[in-house]
Amino acid sequence: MGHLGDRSILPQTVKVALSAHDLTVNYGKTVALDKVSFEIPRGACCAVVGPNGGGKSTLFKCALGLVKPVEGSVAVLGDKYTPKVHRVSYIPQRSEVDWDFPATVFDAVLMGIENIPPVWSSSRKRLNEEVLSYLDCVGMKHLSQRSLKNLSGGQQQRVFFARALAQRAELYLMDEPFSGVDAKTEEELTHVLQEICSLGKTVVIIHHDIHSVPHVFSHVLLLKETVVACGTVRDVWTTENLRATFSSRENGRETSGVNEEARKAGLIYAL
Amino acid sequence: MLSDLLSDPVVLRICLTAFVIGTLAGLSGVFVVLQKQSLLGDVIAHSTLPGVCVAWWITQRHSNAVLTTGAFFAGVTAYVFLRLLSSRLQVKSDAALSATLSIFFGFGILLLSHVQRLPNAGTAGIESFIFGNLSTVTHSDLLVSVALLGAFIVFVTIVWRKLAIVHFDPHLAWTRFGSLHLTKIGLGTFVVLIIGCGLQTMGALLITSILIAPAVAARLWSRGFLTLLILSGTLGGLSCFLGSMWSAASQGVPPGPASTLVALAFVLISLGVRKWWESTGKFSSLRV
Repeated sequence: MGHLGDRSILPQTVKVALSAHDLTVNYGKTVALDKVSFEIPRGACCAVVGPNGGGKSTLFKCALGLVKPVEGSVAVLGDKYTPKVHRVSYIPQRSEVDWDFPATVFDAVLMGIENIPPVWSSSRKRLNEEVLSYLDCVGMKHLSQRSLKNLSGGQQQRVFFARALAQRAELYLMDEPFSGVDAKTEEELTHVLQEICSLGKTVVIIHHDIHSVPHVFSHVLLLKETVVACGTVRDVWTTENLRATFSSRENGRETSGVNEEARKAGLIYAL
Repeated sequence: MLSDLLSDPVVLRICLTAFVIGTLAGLSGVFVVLQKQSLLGDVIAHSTLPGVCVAWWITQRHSNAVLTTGAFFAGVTAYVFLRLLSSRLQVKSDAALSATLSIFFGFGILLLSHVQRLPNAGTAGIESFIFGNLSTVTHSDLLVSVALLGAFIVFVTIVWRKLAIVHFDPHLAWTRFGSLHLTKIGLGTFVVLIIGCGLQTMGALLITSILIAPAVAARLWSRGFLTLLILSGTLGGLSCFLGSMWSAASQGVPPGPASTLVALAFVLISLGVRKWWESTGKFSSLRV
């Protein structure tokens, strides 16, 4: 396996990787996030779990400064996010990028790297080896010259992971990286995530597969417009919290039992 | 016959100008195609009509410089209008393109019918903006287009990595470079300038195909972004060069349609050769 990058270089004083305080976001009259407050500690491998429309993606967009909050604030690595300054890597949903773009797998990973020396310089060879080692980490080294539009869904996700590694970020925000990928890919990429966290870096992932949460993640944030619970998996991964996250409110009172969405997610069998 | 044609300094100048404009169109067409706004060239070219009419109305002169300035201002207005429609009001891209085109072109036709009723209204200059005309190309036109090509190549050389990233994954561009407003405005300005520059030779009606066709043909052969840019620019230049030679030789075929047909021939030949190579196994479709 290739080289995953170096240990975290963030000063030890930064203890919290991602936090929000009374964060409120509206889209027109629809409330997306309502007084959301939480803290995800540095080095955590955290899943963000919640129903569709629960504000998970909005939270990420807000953290990156792409959506302006009505009230409250969100902090990244202890500070308000500034592009270029903070070492944050964001992996969007696969459908959000243009896979017809003329580039090879190698080129796509190169996009994550700052300060690329010119082709004729001697340090370029070292850089090429670095890129190949990131591709090796995600099992894509043999496809480095394949063009992007000829990749399968799982391969596209592997490219995203290699690019994220190339960014050598301190915080990784990923929007549903495991949706529509096969079990083998998910297992291998999960392994990469855990390696990243073991280097002292933080990973926060929007996740839909409730079965795998306790096996993969150290922390979990349950989000349904507001924070249902946030903490270590051991503390907050309980039946009551999950029921509160996925039950639907109608006419102001909670409907009995678990709703259709939670049933589809296999919640009943998982618990 | 070819050397006979090119030994004439006027024809040579015309063909060189066409080559430079074709190269510009081929280069900028790559971005237009990548933004999935293939009709952008069409919209901007047609939207220049009110500007051309107003410029002629005010000055009452057939000066290329005056008409081009009018075209440029109208083109920029249309471009800004289009961006506002799609970004601020969240109108879908195709609807925004067609709304901009019909509003500006409709207004242009209105002005044109008014201008044509004016005394001494020789509208030949205005007609050449629609179908293209090479006979009016002057020495300064050649110089202007060469300068524009130089400036655009410098611009693309400096920011091509940013442009590649912003077209592949806007979120990555945001986290790595911030909003990139200046780069985007720069690119937009260049596209409008290039269309304005190409208008009087290639015509508003067909300039869009000279933007799009070289990029489409080049895409069939290029795996990387830089290859695509270089190949598309070259094909665009060749199309307009050969098209204007054809136009000059035949005396009657307008340069716009001639260049368009050459560019489309490149697309068809590329498609055909690729399919044939794939069927014989010489070329794997996985590669490009």
